[in-house]
Amino acid sequence: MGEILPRLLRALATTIQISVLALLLGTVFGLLLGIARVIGPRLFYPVIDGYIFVVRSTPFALQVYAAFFLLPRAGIDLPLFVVGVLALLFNSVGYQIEIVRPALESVDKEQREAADSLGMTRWLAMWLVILPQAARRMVPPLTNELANLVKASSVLSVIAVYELTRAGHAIIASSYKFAEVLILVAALYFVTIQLLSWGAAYLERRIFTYRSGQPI
Amino acid sequence: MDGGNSSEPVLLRIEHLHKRFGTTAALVDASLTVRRGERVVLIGSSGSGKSTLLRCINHLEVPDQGSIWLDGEFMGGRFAADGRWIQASSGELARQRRHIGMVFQSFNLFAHLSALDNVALGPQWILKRPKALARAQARQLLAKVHLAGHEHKLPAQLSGGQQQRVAIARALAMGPKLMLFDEPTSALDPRLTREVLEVMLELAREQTTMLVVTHELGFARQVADTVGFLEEGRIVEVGTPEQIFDRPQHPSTQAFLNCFSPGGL
Repeated sequence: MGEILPRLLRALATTIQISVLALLLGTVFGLLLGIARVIGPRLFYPVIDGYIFVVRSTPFALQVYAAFFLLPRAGIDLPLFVVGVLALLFNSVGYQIEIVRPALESVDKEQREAADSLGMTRWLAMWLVILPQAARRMVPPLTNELANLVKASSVLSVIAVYELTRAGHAIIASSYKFAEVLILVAALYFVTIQLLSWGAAYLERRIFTYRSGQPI
Repeated sequence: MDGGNSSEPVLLRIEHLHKRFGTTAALVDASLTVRRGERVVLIGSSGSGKSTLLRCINHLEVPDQGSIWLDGEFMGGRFAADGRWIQASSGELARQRRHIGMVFQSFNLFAHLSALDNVALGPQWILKRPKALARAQARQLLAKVHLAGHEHKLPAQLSGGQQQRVAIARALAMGPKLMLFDEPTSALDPRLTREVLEVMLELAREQTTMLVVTHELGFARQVADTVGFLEEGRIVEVGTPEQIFDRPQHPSTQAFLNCFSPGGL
């Protein structure tokens, strides 16, 4: 037990790094593509929709294999950690677009009309009026997505990224302590996801409460 | 209120406007002119096309047919040298809309911004005024609509009448040539209606060019230079308040106004 926990904790750090990186990068791309899907040129719509379709209708494990085998074939040799982040990112962006788009569309049409009537361009109205109001509505599903990412990152063990699940495997293989290690790994996932969820809820209250007298 | 501004140049010219929603004809061959400084009030039953007419002017609704000129400029597009019609890009349309202030029935203040920021937002970001200047002007405008001391409040912390006055200040902040009011008091109780109408009355005194859709006939009579009556998408009668309210010619106008007479019920 004494040597198991530190090994698992080091692997957990990798799990968290990968998940948080995928979430943050995913939010950047998710926002850009989600906004483009709402007010961008119509030309983009089928491309974005096709991407979402692919992500949603193929197993994540397959996407991970694809990243692992196809990237080197395309002459792109990356460290396993980076391949893992990219696979997770590819997957997460698909879902995050579908978090951003409905949140943007849920802002009252009247808000958009008021912005239009003042003479704002579509992009300015998006930036000043729609996005700030939609952002609050994105936080709960994004928290959910982060929990999904932490769990989905366990699939990266199949390409030997040394994250929590992979570390668990390795320790079991050398020690045969199935029950202890599995319970410990499960507990670490559980605690991590709870802590991240609380953090996100705190963030939501702190940042996304409209305060009067706030400067532009 | 003097009605003798017929020598003023035409600011808004609407010709033969048509708009359908599915199978419903919302506007049928509507034509109207508004001179600089003129106060025009449109009355008529709900669904008669008054709001649609207003919303077509700044292209919140795109008309199916007909033309709208604001200060000599064609709204929503232009004709090329060879006579081809070129639809305005969203950027051009945005530029044209800056000259037209609009006040909505449901206020439509930006829910995440304080009263002051609601008013300062347009000048700062659209007219690119320095932030301090935009905010100072916003403060003055809020004072003008009797809301000094409420600058920091969010829309949800204001009464309907206060919200509507912020909305008026927000529209005025852009320095529009024309102000459109789309049933600005229909969502308000009589006391709050009064607050808003008083502000509109002050604007009228300052020769603001206004096109108002309202059911407040007392206001129409007091403020309007010209009153238009709409029915089923058509402008059936246009005249001075005296002509429309005291000697309506069209049977529909007479029937509509009878609903408001004291012995009507």
